[in-house]
Amino acid sequence: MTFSVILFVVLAAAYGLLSTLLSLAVAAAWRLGLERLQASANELLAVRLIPAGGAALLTLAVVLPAFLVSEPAQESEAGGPLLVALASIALLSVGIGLGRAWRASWAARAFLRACGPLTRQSYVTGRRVEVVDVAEPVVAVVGGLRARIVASSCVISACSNEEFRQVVAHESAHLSTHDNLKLVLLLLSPDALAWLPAGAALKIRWRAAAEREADENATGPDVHKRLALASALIKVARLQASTSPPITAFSIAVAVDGVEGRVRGLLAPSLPARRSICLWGLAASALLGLVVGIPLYGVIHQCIETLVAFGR
Amino acid sequence: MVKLRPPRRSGPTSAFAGGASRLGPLETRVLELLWHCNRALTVRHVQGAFTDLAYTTLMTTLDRLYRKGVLTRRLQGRAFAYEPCCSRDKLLGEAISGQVTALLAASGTSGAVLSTLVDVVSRTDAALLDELDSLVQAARVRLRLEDT
Repeated sequence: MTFSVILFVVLAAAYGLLSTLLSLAVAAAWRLGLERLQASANELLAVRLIPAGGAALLTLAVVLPAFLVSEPAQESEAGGPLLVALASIALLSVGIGLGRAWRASWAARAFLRACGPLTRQSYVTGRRVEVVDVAEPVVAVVGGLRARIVASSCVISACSNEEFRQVVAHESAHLSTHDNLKLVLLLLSPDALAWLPAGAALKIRWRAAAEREADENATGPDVHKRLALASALIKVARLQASTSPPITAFSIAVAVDGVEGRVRGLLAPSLPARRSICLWGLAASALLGLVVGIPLYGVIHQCIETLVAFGR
Repeated sequence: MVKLRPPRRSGPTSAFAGGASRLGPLETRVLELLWHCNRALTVRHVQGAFTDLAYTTLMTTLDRLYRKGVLTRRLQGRAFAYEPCCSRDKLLGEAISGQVTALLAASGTSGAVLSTLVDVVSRTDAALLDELDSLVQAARVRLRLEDT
């Protein structure tokens, strides 16, 4: 292997090893008590992205300079089976993550394309809403980069003006917090956590937290708005409960708990916004890790050499 | 006038339910014209509205729509006359329904980039929704009393 090839394989293998170790660490922490903590959507997102983000950061900021500083540039050597296996895992994870995100984006694009020439546009509190005439009670933000609010006409008919205004405010809150882009990140994250139960649980918790926060952002402490949104949630849930069997066949067991929790949350007084310390902690830890890594370049290079030669 | 059998067994709506996205821009424009005229049109008639397009292009487009199950055709003299299988609203509504079903199914597994207001709820949850509704109504009454 030439120097550039071995560099690429070493980086891929380092990413594969680090992301797998970090995935296992997050899964263990989740089972040991992290799942019981009350966390915001951003905190849950940060925890979910630790394996992929942390591994990428460590690979580029610690492994890469350690390798470049200590490895003779002209040297070419053969990689061992462990190195190749780890690199393959990393490339496979990246490929699967890209595939997942592409499939999800394609499904959303296909939906918007199908709706495209058929929608009526309506403006609610200055926000454009695409209205589609379908039996299913859809209200959703669809799309990644250019997300749009889509609502079926049956939902508009079922809700009062104030209720629909709150529904649009809720969806607008998703747009302003870029929740769909975050969902793309979750789908994209190339790591072993995606295949572990903790990864799936984190994704469900993130979605639930994002919905609750969108409710809070939409209504604030205004009791009238909160009741209107709660009422709209119940009406849409009722409409969904009476839709055709093909949809109910895909029903999610926790979905109604989600509606119940959100309605009860809206009936309770608004909660004051909590300061998020987790994200600052993570950023500080990452910076500290990079600084601490500098004197360890020699040791890290030794580890790389062991990894390259393992099983050869 | 001889009515010809469509080339496929599935009905037009089921063929269309795969998605309106399967129709190209010219196909959509031709279909819109047929809906607008509300009667069977031959290629020659259609060309009257698309003077910039060749006869053969329109013939191919109409034939493609027929093969997709969106149009029916009958012999009118020596030419085929085409008309849509059903109304615009019905056909396109069912097309989106198919997409909605697929998208909601995909959203359950995070297989689509969308945030729905309410996730899919099963039929058995009506009692709980009733209970929640009564809580909301009670809160509304309390609020009204406080306001007065």
